[in-house]
Amino acid sequence: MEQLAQQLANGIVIGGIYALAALGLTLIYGIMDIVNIAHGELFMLGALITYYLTENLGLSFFVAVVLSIGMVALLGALIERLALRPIRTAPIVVTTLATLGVSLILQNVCLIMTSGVPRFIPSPFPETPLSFGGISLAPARLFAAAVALVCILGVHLFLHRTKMGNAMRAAFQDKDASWLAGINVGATYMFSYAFGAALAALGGALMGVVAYVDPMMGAKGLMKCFVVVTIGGMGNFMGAIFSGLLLGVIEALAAGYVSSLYKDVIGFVMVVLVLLFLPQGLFGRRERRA
Amino acid sequence: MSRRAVRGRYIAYACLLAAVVIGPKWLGPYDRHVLVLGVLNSVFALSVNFTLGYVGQPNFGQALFFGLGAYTSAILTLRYGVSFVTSVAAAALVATVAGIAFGPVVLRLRGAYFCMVTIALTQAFMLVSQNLVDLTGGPMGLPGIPRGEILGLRLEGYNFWLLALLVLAVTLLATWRFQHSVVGRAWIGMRESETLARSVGIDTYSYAVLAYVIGAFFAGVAGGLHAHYTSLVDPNVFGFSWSSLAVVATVLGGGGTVWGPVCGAMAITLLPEYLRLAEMWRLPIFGLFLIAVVVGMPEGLIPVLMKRRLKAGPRFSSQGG
Repeated sequence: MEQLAQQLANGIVIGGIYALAALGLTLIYGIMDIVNIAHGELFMLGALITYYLTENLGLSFFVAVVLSIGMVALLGALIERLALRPIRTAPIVVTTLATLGVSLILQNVCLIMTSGVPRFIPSPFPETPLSFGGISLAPARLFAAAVALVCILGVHLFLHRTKMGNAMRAAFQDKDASWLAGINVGATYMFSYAFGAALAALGGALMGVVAYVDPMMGAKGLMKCFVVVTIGGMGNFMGAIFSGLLLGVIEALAAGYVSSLYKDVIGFVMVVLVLLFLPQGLFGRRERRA
Repeated sequence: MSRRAVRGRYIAYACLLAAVVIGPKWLGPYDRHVLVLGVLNSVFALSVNFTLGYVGQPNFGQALFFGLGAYTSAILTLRYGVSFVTSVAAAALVATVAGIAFGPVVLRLRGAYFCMVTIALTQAFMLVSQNLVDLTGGPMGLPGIPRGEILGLRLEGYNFWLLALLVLAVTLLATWRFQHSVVGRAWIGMRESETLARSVGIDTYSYAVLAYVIGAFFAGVAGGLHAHYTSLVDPNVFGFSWSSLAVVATVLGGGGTVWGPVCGAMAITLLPEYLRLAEMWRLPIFGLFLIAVVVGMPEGLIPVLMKRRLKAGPRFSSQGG
């Protein structure tokens, strides 16, 4: 029983990170109709920049996370402007290839710069785990889970309570109608991509502090995001959040009770099952609503 | 065009064909090696062209069938000592069966959704191939696959070139036949507008599955040949980079044309080898090149060239490449 609770807690920590990053991916898909292959690299950059800012520039961890999110968001805006805006109406194969190109550049430049060695972000948290009635969690993990949950709530409020959030949801539901209603769709696109990139970067930075940082973590992160977004229903915000947590928990349980070798396969099996029986996704009844 | 011009054109084509078939006999082993890889990649690119170019769905998981083919022929050859032809035929069979199994599932989806699921499925197979150490050799893969022989002919050097060309010719012929058949028209119709195609009674779902299965077959063949040719199979055959190689080749050359994927595959196989790009910076430069090309000519090379020709003067056979 205690082991079960422990696995659940571990699963929620990782699941919260998946949910954050997948939220960014589903946002970009929903608003721009783009499969963002570069999402994994933005995730990785969030972690890598945090590492450099703390280790090399000696900034405090918290400042470094905020700065790295800002930098990745700016990079996202730049990517949208240079690579995606010129082909906004092109078929999805073409836009996907453009994000693939971005991903190749980012991943390999980072590989060259870091020589591919895994690195550890200097953690500001004490090593000794806190225990709550038999469950012990490292403070870094607790922090990651708390930040993930707070930020997910924050994104929800942002989308529903601010002008830009409403513009994004409007563009999400109907581009032409929102354009007619006077929303600057171009600016909304750029903001959405930057916002999605920022969410990926935050997810990456949190992953970096609970695990480690390496240039290949992006590829793995991207696959997790795909699984989460498919299970939750494409472009479904709440679905992404719940299935992110679900995937984290199921993976933790699988690692604990079945086999840690196959824990990464489970997500893909879930994808196939969901598609067979619930093609709209687990939470997909109202697919194009935010 | 006058009859004489037509005859002249045929003679030119025949000479070109003869040069392509016989020429590599006198090439050095390295140059021939690169050319064979280019031809195998062309077959692979043509295999994704069915779903990607004709049906117009973003299939980023074609390495699934390439990998299955490669592992099938490697395991059969190394463990059971079957002949070259049998192992490649089995590779095609396994890939086709997988296509029949997965096609009906993944083609319930379209667009971005389809794209992600094809990627995820391929990734799952990569993880399995890494973990089934007894069968697949795990992350180290299966080395030492022999080149094999057909009818007593050892498939070394020039012989493999002939075989690869033959397979490419069959693939091209199949693509061409499909394009100009009812099936191909249904595919193109659904690419242009699936709703419209359905409204005139085309069963788009079945046609899309058919394209997926045909693609699986040719990818399986390409994978089986590649395993014998490079003598090594490892989990990277299921890698995302393999799938994207086929997509990039097809889109660069021009999807939904017969020759586009071949031009694209040849270009991205040969150019990096001969431009001698700095090994380390090859992939980032490739990424930049990719963005520049899709932003500059999103339809691909062959359609752009054909449009030029159409502008220069109308021709009757404007369809296809």
